[in-house]
Amino acid sequence: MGKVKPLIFMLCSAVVILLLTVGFFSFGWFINNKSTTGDDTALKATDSDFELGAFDSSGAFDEYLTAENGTLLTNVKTEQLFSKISPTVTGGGKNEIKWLINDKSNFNNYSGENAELGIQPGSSGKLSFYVIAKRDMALNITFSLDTVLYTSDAKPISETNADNSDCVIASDSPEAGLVGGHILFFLNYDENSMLYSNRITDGSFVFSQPDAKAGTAYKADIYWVWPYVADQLILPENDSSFSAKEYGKLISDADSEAFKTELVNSPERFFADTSFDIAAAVGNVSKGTASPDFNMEYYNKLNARWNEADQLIGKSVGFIELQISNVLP
Amino acid sequence: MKSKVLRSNIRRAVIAVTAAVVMIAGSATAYAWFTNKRKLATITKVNSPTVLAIGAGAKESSLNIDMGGIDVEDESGKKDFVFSVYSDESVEKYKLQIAHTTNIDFVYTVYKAVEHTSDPGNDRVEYTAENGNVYYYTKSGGAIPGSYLNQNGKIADNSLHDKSYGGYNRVQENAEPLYWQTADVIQPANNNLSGFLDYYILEISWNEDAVNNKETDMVYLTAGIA
Repeated sequence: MGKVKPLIFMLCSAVVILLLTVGFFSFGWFINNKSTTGDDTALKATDSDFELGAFDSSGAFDEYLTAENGTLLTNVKTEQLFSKISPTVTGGGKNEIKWLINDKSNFNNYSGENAELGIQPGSSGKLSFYVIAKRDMALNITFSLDTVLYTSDAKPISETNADNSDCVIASDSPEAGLVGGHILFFLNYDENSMLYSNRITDGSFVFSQPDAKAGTAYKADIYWVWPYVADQLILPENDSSFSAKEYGKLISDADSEAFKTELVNSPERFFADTSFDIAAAVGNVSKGTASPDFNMEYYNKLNARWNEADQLIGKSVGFIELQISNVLP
Repeated sequence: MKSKVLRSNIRRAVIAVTAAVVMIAGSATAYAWFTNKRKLATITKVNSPTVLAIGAGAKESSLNIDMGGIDVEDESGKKDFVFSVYSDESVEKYKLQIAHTTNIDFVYTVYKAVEHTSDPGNDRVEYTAENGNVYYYTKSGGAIPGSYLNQNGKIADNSLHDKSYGGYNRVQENAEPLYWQTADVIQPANNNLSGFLDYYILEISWNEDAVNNKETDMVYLTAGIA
């Protein structure tokens, strides 16, 4: 009998481990808060509630991406009655895919007729994607919006170039900081006032669809803007100097207040050379060109310094990859 | 002895099974974690700023383009100035623009120019660089075709007035600039990845009616990516 005892202990410990494993899965099941039937495997229970997708064509520079091609879904219902789309989506083991683009949704990487390729100061556009619910539920997803910058040495992905990690510009570099302050993302754009709002300032945004239906695709838009000059963020909306120019104010005067604070508090994100009196310059210029206090020297300096930062971005950054991904709870 | 062997075999088997369970559990949880993450990625190119610069002769700063002191009594009836257009990056094509006021009845003509380090003789423009070296430039080919965008006789018409002055109408007629632009886009000579350097001669000529009366004209040279 004494010889059998260790064996029982060992079997017991194996059972304990199995129990722990089951416990772990159940825990995951509760976190995901999904109703699953008893015969669902634990793995299925932790799968995502939704897939992400977009439609039409590959981006002009997609060969530089390591993300794989998604799976084509045809005739997916959208929120709009009778409107169906055929997006290429995540899922089926493909969790990081290339974001397809079209003439209305792109990052200046749509190679259609008369399309502008590549971005520079003055470029702007919209990127749309779809959240496809997998069951009837309230979708409330926090998305992370991330950029990865590459030098112009980046090469297309190939057998000899598995990725461009050696060309990645460190996210704490001055250039990366300036990209964060110069290439702006918003959730809303008003075509009448031509103003952007709900800027994504901390790299995350929330997508909500309280009564999502299984198999339906819900659209989300992100507007991207690389302002031409600092004026567009600082001067008053009705400043007369805009009337003779090809560009106008980008954000409301109320949003400019917050932006000005940001300019003063984190000048390194906006200006390559911060050795000037930014607070005084911003304060003066924001009164408008018609103000009796308006100081041309401040105005020129602010725009010149802003432009220098654009030049630095243009000279050091070759490619910019934009990723959106759901933040796991 | 026999049972001992058996026991150790069983033990090994149990350990193996346990390890397998642990490994499966580990990989399954990792997989479960990843299956919840969904990501879309897109990429675009950042167009690099092309610095198209205008300089004096010898690729020196445009501050050295000195067009002051034209003596219209000079019998040649013209004066030539050299300037350069250059970039340290590849540029496919560009345009040249001249804007000038019309106080003096000058004719402005632009020619492509060739640089010489030794004096080629007649009809050349001499430029003394900051280091004292002298460079010579001669015209190459005929006048570069171009046209005024807002010309009405010798002065500017109203077509571009609003763009410069808005609703302001009290501009003296000779103070309103005439805008000239090259007809065709210019392809830089010897353009490569490290840029190019093109020289031009701006010829300012006048007819015999012109007199020295201390008038001043403003001349702007502009080069822009076409």
